[in-house]
Amino acid sequence: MPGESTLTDIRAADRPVPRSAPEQAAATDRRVRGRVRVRSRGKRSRRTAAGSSLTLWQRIKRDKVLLALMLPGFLYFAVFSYAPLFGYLSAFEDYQPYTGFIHSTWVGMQNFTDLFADNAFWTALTNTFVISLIQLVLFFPAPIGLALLLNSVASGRIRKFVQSVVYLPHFIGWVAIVSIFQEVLGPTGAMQHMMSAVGLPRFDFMSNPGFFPWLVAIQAIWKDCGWGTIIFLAALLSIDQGLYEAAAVDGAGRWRRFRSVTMPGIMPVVILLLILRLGTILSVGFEQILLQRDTVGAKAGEVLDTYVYYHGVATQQWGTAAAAGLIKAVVGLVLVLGANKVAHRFGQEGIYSRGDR
Amino acid sequence: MERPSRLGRAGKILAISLISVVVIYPFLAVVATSLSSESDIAASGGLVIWPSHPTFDAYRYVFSGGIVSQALWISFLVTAVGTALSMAATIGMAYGLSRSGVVGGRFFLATALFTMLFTPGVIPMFLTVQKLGMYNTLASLVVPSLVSAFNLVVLRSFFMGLPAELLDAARIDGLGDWRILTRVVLPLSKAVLAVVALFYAVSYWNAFFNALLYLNDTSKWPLALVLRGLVIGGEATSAANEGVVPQQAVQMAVVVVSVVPIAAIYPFLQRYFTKGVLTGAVKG
Amino acid sequence: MHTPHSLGRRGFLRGVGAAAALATGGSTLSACGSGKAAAVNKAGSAAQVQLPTYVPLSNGPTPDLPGTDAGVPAGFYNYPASPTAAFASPPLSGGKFSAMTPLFTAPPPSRGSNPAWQAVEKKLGASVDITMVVGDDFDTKLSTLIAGGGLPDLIQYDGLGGVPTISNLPEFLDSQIADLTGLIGGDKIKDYPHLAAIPKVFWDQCTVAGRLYFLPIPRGISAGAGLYRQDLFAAAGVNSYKEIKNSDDFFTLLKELTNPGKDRYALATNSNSNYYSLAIFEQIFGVPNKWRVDGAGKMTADIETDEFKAALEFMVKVAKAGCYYPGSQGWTKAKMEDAFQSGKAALIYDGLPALSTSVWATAQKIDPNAKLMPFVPFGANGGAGVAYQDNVVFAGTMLKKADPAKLAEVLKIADFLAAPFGTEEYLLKTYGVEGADYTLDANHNPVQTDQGKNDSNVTWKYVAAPQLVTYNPGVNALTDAVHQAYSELVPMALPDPTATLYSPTFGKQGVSLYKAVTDTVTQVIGGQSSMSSFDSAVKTWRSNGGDQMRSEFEQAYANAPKS
Repeated sequence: MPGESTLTDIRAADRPVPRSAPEQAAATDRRVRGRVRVRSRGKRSRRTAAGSSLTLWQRIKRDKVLLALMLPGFLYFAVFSYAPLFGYLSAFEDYQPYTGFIHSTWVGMQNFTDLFADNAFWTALTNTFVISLIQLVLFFPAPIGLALLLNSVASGRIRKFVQSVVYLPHFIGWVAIVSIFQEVLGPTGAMQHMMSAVGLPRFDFMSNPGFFPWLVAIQAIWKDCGWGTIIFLAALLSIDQGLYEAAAVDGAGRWRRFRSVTMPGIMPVVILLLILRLGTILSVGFEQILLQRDTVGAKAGEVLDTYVYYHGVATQQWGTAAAAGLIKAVVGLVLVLGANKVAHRFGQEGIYSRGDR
Repeated sequence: MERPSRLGRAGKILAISLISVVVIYPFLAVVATSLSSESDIAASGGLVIWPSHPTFDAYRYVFSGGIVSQALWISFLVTAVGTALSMAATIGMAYGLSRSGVVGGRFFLATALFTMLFTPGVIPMFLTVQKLGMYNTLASLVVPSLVSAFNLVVLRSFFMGLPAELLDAARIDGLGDWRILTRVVLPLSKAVLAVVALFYAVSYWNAFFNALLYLNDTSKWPLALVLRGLVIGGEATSAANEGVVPQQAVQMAVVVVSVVPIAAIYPFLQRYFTKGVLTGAVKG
Repeated sequence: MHTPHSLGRRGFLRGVGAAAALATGGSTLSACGSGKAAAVNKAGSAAQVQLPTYVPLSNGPTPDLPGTDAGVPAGFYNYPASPTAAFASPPLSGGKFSAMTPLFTAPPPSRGSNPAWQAVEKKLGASVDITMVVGDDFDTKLSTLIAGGGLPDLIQYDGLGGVPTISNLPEFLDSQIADLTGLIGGDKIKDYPHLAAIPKVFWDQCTVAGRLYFLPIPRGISAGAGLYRQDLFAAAGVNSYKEIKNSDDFFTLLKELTNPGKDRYALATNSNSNYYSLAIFEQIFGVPNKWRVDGAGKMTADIETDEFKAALEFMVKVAKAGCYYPGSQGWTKAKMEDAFQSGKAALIYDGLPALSTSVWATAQKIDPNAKLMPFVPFGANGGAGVAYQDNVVFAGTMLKKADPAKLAEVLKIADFLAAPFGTEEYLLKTYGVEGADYTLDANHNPVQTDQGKNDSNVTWKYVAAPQLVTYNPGVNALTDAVHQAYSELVPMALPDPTATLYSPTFGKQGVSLYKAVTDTVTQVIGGQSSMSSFDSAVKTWRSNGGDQMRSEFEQAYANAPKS
């Protein structure tokens, strides 16, 4: 980016980083650590060397300020992320809220049996996959395309303006986004008027069950496509301009240069992001879908997360809902770890690397 | 690079304009509708390109009743306090985790990272909030989402990327861990701090789910929940029932009210985005 | 945006009528129907409950159009000139109470900046914290509170007369909710004179497993068979629904009403369980209210009857003739109402409560001749049509278990909120404080200020309420028409014979199985499917659980006490 090619940019861009899904942050973490380790060897060795000869109490005393600083965050995770995990016990219980987790009857795998017998669960699972797949096909490539387009814009001012515009929706909450879509695509919206103006039949984008997965993808693109370009733009910027010049000197045409310089330049990022995206295939935007599930009905609008929510809370099938949540969590975990493994195969750093930590 | 062909340039301009319109138009439509009178909306069958008689009635209504102004105030409060607390907790933990060899460091890091893979169920969370006495308090909008493991990793990565020589020099100067943080680390991290703070602020501003679960009093509702009720819940506002203000205009006015603060601050932070995003591969 | 399970009674606030009730299906654990006062619990045991004695108030205002004990709401042209005080002094002396209700408007300003809220509490003598939950979230929130053990003193239950919205309802009630039988059964209700003035037909709804658990929030028994534009009908040569004698007349009229060139259609529908206004046609064609029982106790579901098929065939014909507003099957309900008010549709299926002075005024602003009237079904073959008992109560209110002294206080709150039309208390809880929230016009009718429109959104009326009245100040013609419609509808309203009965299969699958059929119905009317797909949908319904429900209901019916 003009005027912004700071050290951070370039450094980060040469091993660009994934855009979506939290676990990808750790990839960066790992990457940056790798760099830091080299540079900060002095500091590290000092503390570790000293640490090995100290007793635990001495080390605690030495690190008391740091430990105190970490305490609030740690307590938060312990109380709000770990303690409630015991709630998954109810997956194996005939849980009744009046009796509590401890005293509810233990039913073993009964909830899982019930869950697998529930058509709604399979519908939710199918919908999750369908939505994920459509997002993968539509939403995944969109930022790449937009980044290529932006990158090819010569005028810095235009590029800057367009960036300002396309980043904005990222910061708007789903409640507002859904309202805005209702306004544009809903029964009284601009799209309907345009369609009838050209003689197309009315089509209710917002409440047509068949269209729902596409609607979800379109909304996601509108909201986050611009934001997603940041990472690819950085990757594009980091490509050595000399390579283009050399290729041009060799007589390579535009297309040829794209294939032999641009593509290899951004491919590692693309592959990494793709793999990590596959790892989170069971998660599709909870808030986004929760807000719109009822307009299209559960048959089209139910995904795994909303299934867990509605069955666990609205219809009070606590046990089966917990079972579904547990399955989702475990399968999701396996997928994420699997995706990381594959990422390593491709020579990328995933969320957990094999090396020491 | 050589100049692109004229056709290619025209195509590019077209594509860029189209994309800008697709992003900008919905906002304009929302603003136009919020300024419309009933006759505008009825005459156009719901679609208002630009109202022929712009009126601020919808905004007047929205701010006269108290609930929207009150919710706006609560959203500001929760966002400000929440962001401050989140930043404090996140910076503290990220700083501790960024320093190698700290006792228990690996354990703390694993504890934080693992939470990205698991979400506890709604009911256990509810029970936790309730047992801590936070049910139906504004604290329930902040504390249960105090630290994002994701933002934590972003900050930690950035802290670790700071030049080690600086930290070593500070230590040699006799600075303790606390002073190194406040005098060296934080001043060097302004950009990434700004971005992480923005992410926290935006997530507090837009959140409705915690409020839905943990609040009883409508007087404590944040704006996102009021908006959700008005627009998504398809509620009739009392004004619309009385035929005073078009319902659609009121809904869109609340959308505008909820978007304006974000649209107002984000351009100032935009120059930090790239830095922040690339430090942590930010999803936001 | 309703979830299927929330389609029940709450929907009537926004005028959703029998089609919604149809979607949520038939039976429930709670008793219903004036003939039967008992409920059948899970185990199939039944007991006669001693319901509160009906004691009409002696000092109430005289209505312009009298109501009936069978449930016809009284009609008032204007608010009584000098409202009486129902309570000389506050019924309570201090204390903090809590309640939970759904909310269908914008949330009201909080107590501190809401003089109306403060005034109600002052007159009541206690403070009441109301958790107001946006309608669609109500069941979710209730579940959370059940799980968390944080139930308030008064809780609305919206599953009355529909599908139970709490799982294991009898167990839940038994463990958490106060049994009111001993507190207000029989003559004990006389301690709460305003609750005692609620006729028996409403209390019939309020029992489960032989116990009285709910306070009714009364409605007008039937939601009616839609609303029509009298002005448009008259222009098409039909001055009133009474002039329509059979389905041929009706078809001619519908075609006459349709004029695409003027952007006017006979009918408009919406995507919110309206099914092309199916409920209007069902009532015209005499389809039973969910189930029909013959003398031998054999049951036939509505969708299995010849009447239903006749109604469906007629609707296909109407749709083919282009009488529905094109694309309206994708509309929101609000959009359908807009079309009706602006004269783009002459007949819609919307509940009677949807008619009001303000709706009338909106329509008249667009067209000064506009007349919005309730539609009463005629018989398709020349005889009388039927109506449904589909809106007896809005919901019921449960009291959290507590010691008798506390429960007596909570009941006093309910009694206070049940102060009837014509009292100062009614004026206060409905409109707020005179001056700040409303002013009285020349006919003593309250006219809300802008502040009043917000302040009065506090949901007292969903905590407890007196019998409904028909009151459309300034539009006597509308009050007359609505009162007339209720007077005709209530006597012809069919009860749902399974409303007192319990079927486990229905509780579990009733909604989803029925939804599959109504989806097919929508497609058949829309022309995407043929009649034969309807037949096979009914067959599927039967084999997937319909027959099972039938036998369970028949069994329960045989065991139920007959009065």
